[in-house]
Amino acid sequence: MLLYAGRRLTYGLLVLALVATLVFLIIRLIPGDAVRLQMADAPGVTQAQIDQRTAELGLDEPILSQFGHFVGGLAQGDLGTSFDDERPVTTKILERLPATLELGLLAILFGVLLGVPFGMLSAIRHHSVVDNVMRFLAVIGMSVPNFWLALLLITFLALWFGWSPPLVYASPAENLGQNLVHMLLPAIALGAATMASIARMLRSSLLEVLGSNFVRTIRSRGASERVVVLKHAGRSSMIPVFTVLGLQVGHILGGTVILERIFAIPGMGSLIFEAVGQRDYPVILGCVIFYGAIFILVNVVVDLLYAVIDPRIRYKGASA
Amino acid sequence: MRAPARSADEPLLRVEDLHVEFRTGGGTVEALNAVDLWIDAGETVAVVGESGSGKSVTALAVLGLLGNGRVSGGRITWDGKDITGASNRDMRTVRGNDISVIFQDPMTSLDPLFTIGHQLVEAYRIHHDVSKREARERAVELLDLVGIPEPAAKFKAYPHQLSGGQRQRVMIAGALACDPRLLIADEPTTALDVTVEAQVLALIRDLQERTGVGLMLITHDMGVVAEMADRVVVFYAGQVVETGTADEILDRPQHPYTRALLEAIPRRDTPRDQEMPAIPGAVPALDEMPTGCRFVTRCTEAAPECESAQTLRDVAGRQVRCWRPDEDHGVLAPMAEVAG
Repeated sequence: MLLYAGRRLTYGLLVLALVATLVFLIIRLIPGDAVRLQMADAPGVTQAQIDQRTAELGLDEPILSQFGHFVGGLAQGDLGTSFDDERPVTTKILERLPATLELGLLAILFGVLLGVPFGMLSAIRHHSVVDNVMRFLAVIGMSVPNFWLALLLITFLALWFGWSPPLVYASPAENLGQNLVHMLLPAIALGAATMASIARMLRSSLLEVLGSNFVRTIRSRGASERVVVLKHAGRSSMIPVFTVLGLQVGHILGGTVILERIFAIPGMGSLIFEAVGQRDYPVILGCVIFYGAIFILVNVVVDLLYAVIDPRIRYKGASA
Repeated sequence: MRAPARSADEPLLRVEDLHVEFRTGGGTVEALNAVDLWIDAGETVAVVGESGSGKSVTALAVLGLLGNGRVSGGRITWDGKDITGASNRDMRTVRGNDISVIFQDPMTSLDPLFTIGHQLVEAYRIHHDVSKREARERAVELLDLVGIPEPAAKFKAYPHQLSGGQRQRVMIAGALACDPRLLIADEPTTALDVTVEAQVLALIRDLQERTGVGLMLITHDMGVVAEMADRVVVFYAGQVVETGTADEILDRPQHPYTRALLEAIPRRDTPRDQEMPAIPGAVPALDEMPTGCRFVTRCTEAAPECESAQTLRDVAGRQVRCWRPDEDHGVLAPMAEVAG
């Protein structure tokens, strides 16, 4: 089991290294550069000043040497300093992380708390009206872009109830009530696709398990449907659901960029948005590495959960 | 072991004129058409017939586990009580407690995610309000009973750590956990090696002698029938075509289908260059069943009389669904002895 976990983590780190390298290269392909964006509006900027700033930011060096500095810093846990305000990237990210984590967790919570019962109900009453309605809604939930859903929610709540989400963000410590009200709509918009994917996946995997031989055995021994569905079939059908959930974390992280922007939430998503606008390379890189690390970590945990759920994976992992 | 609390003419299980239909994409199909059978306490009844003849459906109907099928007619009586169409809640007190099943495929019939001990404890506690520790003792006792070596250690094993034969032993242990009065064994050895098959059959017979449990043995292996059965019920295409004692059926089969089944058993003295005897054709699909005798499409003795529907008739002390044999000229050509 430990070996299995170790191997998963090693793969994860390799993927993360690859992601960091790719992003490092790709952001330098975006047209426009940080110095010109910073100085463009200032009157009377001379070429010398531009060159000086470029040298300060280390952007005059060859790309390989820049990459060297980046990797060197990364090895020491240093993500560099922001081009914008010269503060350490790590500090900037850690300031913004809580809001994003909260939003992401709320979205997942929304998706799981509604997706699981919907999926179960759909499977137990398959081909019923309830099932058909849910399958239809699930397709919509998966196809609708989260930002569009967010805009619809804002618009219609305002039109029908005259209600709008708060404009000023409050951290949970300052005002938990206002904070949760603020997070409600973006969490729903973000979690809708997760809910739909979980419901669909759980429906099909539960249906398959409910038709399996061992479920028939358990029924033949007089077990209640509650034991059959929740304990036995439920556990067996969890693996594909966890897979979906792990992948959905990626969608949710990506979704925070635009949704935090729409709802004025000062999280990592808006940080990335601002950083891209200013070509603030260290901040972009730092955020992407952070997002990548969260996504990879979640999926390593999902891999480990497979082994917790299924002894066959557990023992295969131990013997390999 | 329980004392048989019943009158002599009231069997443990009686199935009368049972009809079962399944919903499919293109409407309903009838899987059972007027099935009659009974099982007395402690007796072994072999239910034989080709795949798809309705043997397993009968077992599932008795347990109320038909899934998307339903009993559309007839009656199932358990220990004098009518349990036809009983609610799931009522049937749950019967399943595992009064009537237990061993299914065909031990590789997939245990939950792979729980230890076998957990599954046995669960089986026992469904019908017994006892502590986990007591149930645990019972589970270890059951593992010992079915001949699992080191039962206390194997208690913690997962199904995938056991061989097919051992898994089927665990299935038997689970089926016997609550001392049922009837055990339905649905082709319990089909998925096993021949050597393991003999061991599992010996185990079932041994346990039956020790506990006095009635046995409904579903099989298509006539060798198994000869070895285990007191009585035989022959199924064809959702109907019972012949029923009688094992000796009568094996020695003097009356229905052409039963005879064809017995002739299809390869024997040691069959010359090697001779082709294996087989019944030509296949069981007609459920939606294109002949209106008369259902075996008419494959019967070597088909005659105009076969066009009319056949009923189970008493012939020479047993029941046969064929117009041909009658008591006057007794039995048809006797069969040679069947190799056990």
